Amino acid sequence: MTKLLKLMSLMLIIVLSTSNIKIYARSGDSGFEGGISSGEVEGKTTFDYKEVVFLTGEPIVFSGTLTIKKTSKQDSATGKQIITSNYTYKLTNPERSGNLTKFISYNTAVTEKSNGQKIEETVLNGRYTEVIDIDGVKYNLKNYDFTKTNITDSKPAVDYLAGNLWGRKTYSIGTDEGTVTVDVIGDFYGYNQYWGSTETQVLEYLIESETIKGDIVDKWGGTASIRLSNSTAKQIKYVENEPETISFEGGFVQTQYNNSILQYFSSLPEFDSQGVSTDRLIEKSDSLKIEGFPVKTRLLVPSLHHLKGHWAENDIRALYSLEVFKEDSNKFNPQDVMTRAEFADAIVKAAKEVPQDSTLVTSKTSRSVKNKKEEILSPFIDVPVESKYFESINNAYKRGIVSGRGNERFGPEEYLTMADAITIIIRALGLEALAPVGGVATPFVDDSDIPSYARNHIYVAQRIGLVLGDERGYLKPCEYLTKARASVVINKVINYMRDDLKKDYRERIVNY
Amino acid sequence: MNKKTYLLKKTIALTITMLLSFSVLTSIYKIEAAENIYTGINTVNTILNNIDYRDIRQSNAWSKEAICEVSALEIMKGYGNQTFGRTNSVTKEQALALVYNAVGREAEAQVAAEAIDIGRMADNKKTYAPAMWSDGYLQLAATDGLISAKDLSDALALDKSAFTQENFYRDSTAQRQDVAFWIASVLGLEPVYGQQKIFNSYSDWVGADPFNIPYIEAVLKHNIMNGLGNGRFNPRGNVTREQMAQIIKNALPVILPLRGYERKLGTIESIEPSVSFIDGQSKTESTYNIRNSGGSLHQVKTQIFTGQSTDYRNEQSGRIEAKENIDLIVYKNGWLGKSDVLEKGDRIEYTVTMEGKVVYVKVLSTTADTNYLVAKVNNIDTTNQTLNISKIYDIDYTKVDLDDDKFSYHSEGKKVDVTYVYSSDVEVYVENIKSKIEHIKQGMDVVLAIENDMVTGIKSVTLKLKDQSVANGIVEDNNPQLGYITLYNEKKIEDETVPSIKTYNYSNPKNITIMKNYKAANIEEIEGGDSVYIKFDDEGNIEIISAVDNYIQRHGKVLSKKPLSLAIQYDDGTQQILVTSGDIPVILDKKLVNYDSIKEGDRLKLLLNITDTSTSLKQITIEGDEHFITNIYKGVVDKLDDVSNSLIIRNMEILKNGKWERTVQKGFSMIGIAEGSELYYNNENISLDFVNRKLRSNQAYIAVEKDYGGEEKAVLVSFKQSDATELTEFDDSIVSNTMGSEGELSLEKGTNNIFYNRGTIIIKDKRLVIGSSISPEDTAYIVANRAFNDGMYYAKIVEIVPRSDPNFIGIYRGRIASINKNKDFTVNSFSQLNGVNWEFYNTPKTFRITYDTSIVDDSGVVGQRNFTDHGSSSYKDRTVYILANGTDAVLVNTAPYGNVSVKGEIYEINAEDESTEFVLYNTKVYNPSTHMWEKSKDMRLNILQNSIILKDNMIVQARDIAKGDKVRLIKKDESETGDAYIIFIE
Repeated sequence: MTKLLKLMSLMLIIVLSTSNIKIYARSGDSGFEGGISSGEVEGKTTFDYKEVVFLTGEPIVFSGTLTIKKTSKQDSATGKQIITSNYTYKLTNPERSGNLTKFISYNTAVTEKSNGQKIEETVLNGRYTEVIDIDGVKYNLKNYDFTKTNITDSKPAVDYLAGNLWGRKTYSIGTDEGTVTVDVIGDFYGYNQYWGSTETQVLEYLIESETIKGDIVDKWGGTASIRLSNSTAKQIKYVENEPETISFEGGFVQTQYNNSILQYFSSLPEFDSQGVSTDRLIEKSDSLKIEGFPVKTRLLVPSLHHLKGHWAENDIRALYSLEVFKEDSNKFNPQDVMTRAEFADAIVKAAKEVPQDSTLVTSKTSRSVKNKKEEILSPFIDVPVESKYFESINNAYKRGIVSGRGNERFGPEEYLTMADAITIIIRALGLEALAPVGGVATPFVDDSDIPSYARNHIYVAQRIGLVLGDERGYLKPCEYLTKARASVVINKVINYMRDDLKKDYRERIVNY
Repeated sequence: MNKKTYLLKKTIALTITMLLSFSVLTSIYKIEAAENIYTGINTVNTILNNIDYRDIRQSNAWSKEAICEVSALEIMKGYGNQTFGRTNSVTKEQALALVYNAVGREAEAQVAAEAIDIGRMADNKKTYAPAMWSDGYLQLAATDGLISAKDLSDALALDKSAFTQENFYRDSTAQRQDVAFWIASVLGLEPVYGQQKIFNSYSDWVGADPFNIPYIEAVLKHNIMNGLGNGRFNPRGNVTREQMAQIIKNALPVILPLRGYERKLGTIESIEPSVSFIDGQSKTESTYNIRNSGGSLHQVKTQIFTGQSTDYRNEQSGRIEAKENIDLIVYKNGWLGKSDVLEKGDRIEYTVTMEGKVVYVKVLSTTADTNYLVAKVNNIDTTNQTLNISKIYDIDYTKVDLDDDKFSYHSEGKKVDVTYVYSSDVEVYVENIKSKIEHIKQGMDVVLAIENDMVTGIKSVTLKLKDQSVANGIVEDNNPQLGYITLYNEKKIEDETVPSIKTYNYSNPKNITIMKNYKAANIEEIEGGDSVYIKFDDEGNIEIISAVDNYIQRHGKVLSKKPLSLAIQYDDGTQQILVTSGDIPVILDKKLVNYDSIKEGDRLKLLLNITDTSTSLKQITIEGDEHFITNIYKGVVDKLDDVSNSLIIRNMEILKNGKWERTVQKGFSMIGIAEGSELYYNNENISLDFVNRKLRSNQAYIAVEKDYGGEEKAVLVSFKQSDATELTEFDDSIVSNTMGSEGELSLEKGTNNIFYNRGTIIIKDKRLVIGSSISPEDTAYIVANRAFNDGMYYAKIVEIVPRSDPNFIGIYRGRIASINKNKDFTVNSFSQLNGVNWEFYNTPKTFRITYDTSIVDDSGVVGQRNFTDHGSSSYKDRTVYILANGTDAVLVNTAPYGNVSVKGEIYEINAEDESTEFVLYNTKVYNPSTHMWEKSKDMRLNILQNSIILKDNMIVQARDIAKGDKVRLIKKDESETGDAYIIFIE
C-alpha cells in the first residue's frame, strides 16, 4: 500500500519536456578551475560563477561571472576538429576586499575513433592571465601547466563522459614576497541527454606556499579537495485546475533548471597573530550552490477521460503530455498490444537525441552542400517513406536503437514482447555492459522464460530499477507488450534519465 | 572410463587385430572378409521354454537380467513349473551344485555321485536322480576342500537324530560366507591375505569365520559379491536364488573362460537374410554382420525353418516335428527372445563357445549412439587399426564452428590421451575431400565420430590458435575444503540457450595461480557470483583461476543496527537485513572507520555480492556529514509554493534545547522541500498536493537538513491535527519502548505513555531514525499532542539528547616552569577546575605538545615553534590555562585568571562578524561559601581574543555563540561587566 502511495506521489513529480527553451549544463560549463557556474540560462550571456581560493591558507569563496566562448574549426593538417574555448572570470569577495580576474584559453582536439567514441585532448593555448587580490595582497599567475583529456561514448540516447585533468599553477605574491604553487589532479564524469545532463568533477589540490616576511621565510603546505557537480533537469509536475467548469482536467507543468553544487574540504595550517603559519592544521569544509531560476512551460492536456482510474493512467497522461504518444488520445486503448512501429515511434520520442552544444560557434568555413536534394530511401522495404512511422523508425534504426527483422524488413505491424522492449530500451541507454560476463540470472520467478538474447538487458533493467516484476515476482518477459505496460516502462525510462542518472553522477559522487 | 579399461581394450584390440592384420590391410576398400564366422545354437526353443518364468517375466525384479542370463547359459534352472522362486533361500547343497554347474563341472559331479551310490546298500540307493547327483556335488566339494570330510559324512548320514548345531546339514541354508568361500575356491580366485576391503568397508567382518575372510576378500575384489550398502557384508546371512543368479552373473568374467566361452562386443551393421524352400519348408538363413569392437567384421549365421517337413517325425507319436532351428537367444528390452528381435544398429554383447556357437546375445543399446569430439592426432597405428588422440572437446554436432561457441569443454575438465580403434571402413575427410586413413597425419586436428567407442569417421579441422583448455562462467559455488568450483554458464546449442552447471575439482590450490580483480589472491577469495576464467594444463588440472567480482552498489538508509546485522531500506523502498562482520570495511570521508561509526539513520553506499542464493555485504561507505538534521521548526503552513517547491510558514518557532523559541525572521518564512522528503498527516504519508488542498493554516513540525550551499530543506514534515492540543515540551528519560516503527514510550517523570508513529520526527545522533532506535535510558526532548478524539498523547518530535562525550577535556591552570620545544612543557604546580571550583595541586605536571595543540596568547594564535622558554617572547613563568585530553595539551591559553562562576542565558549579542560582546539575563553567580547559585542582575560581558569557549566538550569560536544559548562562564569578579575568560555553552 505504501509502495503504491509512493509510486503515486512519484507520478506527480515527473520530469519531462518538449519545448525549445535552451537550458544546458554541458561539460565544461563550470570550467576546470574548481568552481561552479549556473550554466546557460536563456537571456543571459554570462554565467553566475563561484570558486574557492585556497592560496592564502584558508578557503575564500569568490563569486561573480564567467563568460565562455567556444569556436570550432577543422585543423587543416590533421583533419581533426579543434575547439578553442575562452573562459573569462570576473569575481569578487567583498569581505576580504577580494578581486579575481582571469582569462584562460584552451585548445581541444577532438579525435573520433572508429568505434564512435570521441577522445578530447585539451591543453592551454598559451594565453592565460590571472590576478587575485586578497586583503591587499596580490597574487599573480606566473606559470600555468594544464592538460585534460576525456572520452565521450555516444550511445543512442545518452552520451557518457569520463575524463582526467592535471594542472599546476604558480603564483607570485606581491612584489617578490614569495610564491604559491597549486597542483591539481582531477577526475570528471558526466552524461548528457535530452532530459538532463550532469557533470561532476572531483578535484584534489596540493597547495605549497613560500612567503618572505622580512627575514622570515614561511613555508607551508596544505591540501584541499573539491567535489562539484553541474546539472540540468527537466521536471514535470501535475497541477490541478481550481475552477470546476473548465474544458480540460489538470495538466502538467514542466520546469527546467540548472543546478550546481560544490563541496569543499581543506586542511590548511593555522596562522599565528603575525600571519605566520603554525604546525596545527585546521580542517574546514563547506558547500556552495548556484541554482538557476527555473523556466516553466505548460504542457498540452490530453483527453483521457475514458481512462480515469486505470492503473497506468498517470503514465499514459504524462506520455501524452510530453507528446511521446501522439495518436488520438480518445481512442487510446491501454489493452491494445503495441506494434513494433508504435514502440519505435514512442521510444524515439522518449529517448530523444542528445542535444548539441550551443556555445559552440562553428566557424563559417564549411561549404554548403545543401542544394543537392537527396532522395530519401527507407532502410526497410516494409516501411515505406510515406508511412507515418517512417521518420521514427528511420531515426531509431540510424541511431542503433532498433534493428530490422532481417531481409531488409522491420516488421512494423508485428508485436513485441516485454523482453524485446527492454532490449531496445537498454540498447538506447547503452548500458548492456553492466551485466556480468558468463551468464546472469535475474531474481524474477520466471527467470527461465527470459530468452537468451534479452537476458543481459533484463538483468541490467532490473538492476537500475526499470523493471521490478509484479507482486509475486514475475516479469512475464514473453508476453506481448500492451500499450498500458509500454506506458509504464517508457515513463520509467524517462524518469530514470531525469532523476536516477543524476543521483548516480551527483549525490553518489559528491556525498561519499 | 578409467585408464585401466583403456589399457585392457588396447591389449584386446592388439591381440585380435594382430592375427588378422594381413587381411585387414588388404581388404579395407574391398568387400570385407569376415574375421570370424559364428553360428547360432539349436537348443533355443528348449531353453526358452524352460526359462519362461511367470514369476519373473511380469515382475520388475532387479535380478531379471541376471536370472535370464544365467538361465540362458543353463547354469541355473527353474523349478519346472514356470517359476524361478527368486526369493527362496539356497541350501548348502544347492549352492555347491550351482557353483560347480557354473564352471561346467556337472559331469564330474554325476560321476562322483554314481560312485557313491554304487557303494550304498541297495535299500539306501537313491532313485531320484537330482538327489543322487546332489551327493556327487558334495563329494566333489569334499574332494576340493570346500567342505570337510566330516561335513561330507554328516551330509550323507542317514540318521541325523544325534546331530547338534555343529553338524553339517546339507539342506540348511547356505551362508553368504560359505558361498563366497566356495565360489572363490571353485573359480580358483586367489585368496587375498592382508585384507583391505572387508576391514575398511564393512563393520561386521568379525561375524565371518576367520578362515573365510581371505576368500570373501577375493570375491569382493572381483566384484562378485558386494556389501549390503549399509556398511555390512552380512557374512552369516542367507543367499536367495535371485542373489545367487546375480552372484553368478557377476562372476561370469571369470566363469566364461573356464567354460571356454568368449564374450565379444560389436554393432550389427547389417542383416542379410536369404530364403530358400526345401521340402515344403522355407529356410531362412540370415547372416548378421557385426562390426566388433576390434574394428573387424564378424558374422553370425542362423537358420530358421518355417512350415513343416515330412522328413522329421516324432518316433513315438509319428507327429511331424518342427525341425530345430539354429537360432540365437537374445536379451533385449528386458526379456529374452530369439534372433528376430535383433535389428541393424543394435550394439550387442555376444557370448561365443570354443566351437564358434553364439550361446547368448545381449543388446546393450538399440541405436548406435555417435559422439563427436575434437582431438589432436598423436599417433596412428594402421597395423593395429588404432588411433591415439588427445581429446580437446566434446562437440554435439559434426558441424564445427568455433566462433559459434558450440564447443563445450569435456565435462570432467580432463584432457586425456585415448586410443581408439577405428573401423576398417572409417570415413575420412581431409580438408573436406574424401580421403583415406593414410592421409591422417600425426599432429592433425580432427573431428572424430565415435560410435560405440569406435572411430567411424575422421574429418580434419583447422583449430584457430587459441587456448582451448579454458572454461568460463559465473561461480556458483567454490568450496576450498572439498576442493571444487562450480561454474554456471550458458551453452548455445543451435538457437537454444541451455544453462549449464559444471564442477571442476582441484586438489592443491597452492599449485594454482589465483587472481581476483587482477591481483594475486587466495582460493577462498573466489566466491559465488564472481565472473571467472579457468585455465587447465595438459593434464586437465586447473592451472589458473582468474576472477572478477560482480559486486553491485546499492544505496540505502540504516533502519536499525545490531552488532552483526544492519537493516537497510534501499532507495527503491525495499528493505533487507544484511549480515555484517568485523571484516567488512567501513569508510567515511575516504577513511577507514569502525563499525561503530555507522549510526541508525545514516545513508550508506553498500557494495553487495548478490547471487541467486544470497546477498553478502562487501563494503560500507557512510555518506558525508552534509545531511544531518540541523533544526526542527514548527509553524503554521500557509501554503506550498509550487515555483520554489517550498513551504510558506508563519508563526515559525525553532526547537532549542527542548524549548520552542521564536525565530529571528518575523512574519513568513520559506523552507524548501528536499528531494525524497516525506509529509505526514494523521500517520499517513500525504502528497504535496494534499497540503495545498486540505492542510492550509495547519500547524506542522518540520525537520530540516542542510542542503548544498547551507540552505535548510525540509525532510520530514508532520502536520498537527487541528483539533489536537499541543502539550508542554517534555524533557525526560525513556523508561521503556515497545519498539517498531509505531509504538509507545513510557517516561520516567511523565505519567502518560506517549505513542509514536511514522509521522513522528525522531532524531538521534542528528539523524532521522525510526521508533525502534529509541532505547530505554535515552533522555529526550519530546513534543507531543493530545488527540481530541481519544485523549491519548502522540509524539510529534522525539529528539534524543546526545550522551556526554567520554573524551573529557580537563581544564588546568598553572605557571610554566619549562618548555621542551614542540614536545612538551611542565608547570610547577597547577589548579584543576572541578565544576565551579579550582582545586590546587602542589606538584609539577607535564603536558605533551602535539600537532593539534593550539597556543593562544593575548594577541592571538602562537605557532608551536615560537612557544619557548627563552628569548624575548619567552613563556617561562607565565600562568596559562591548559585544556588537556589526558596529558595531551589541546589548548594553551594566556587568558587572565578568574574564579567567579556565572551562569545565565544569552539575551543579546553584539556582533558584526566576530562576536565581542553579549548580554546575559537570568543571571546567577556562584557563592563558594554557601555553595549556592545566587541571583544577579543582567551582565554585559566582553569576549576576549583568547577567551576559551567550549561547547559539547569541543573548543569553538566566538561566532558559535548564539542568542538563546545557556552559558556558564568564569570571570574575574561578580560585577555586571567585564571579560568572560572561559565560556561553557550548555
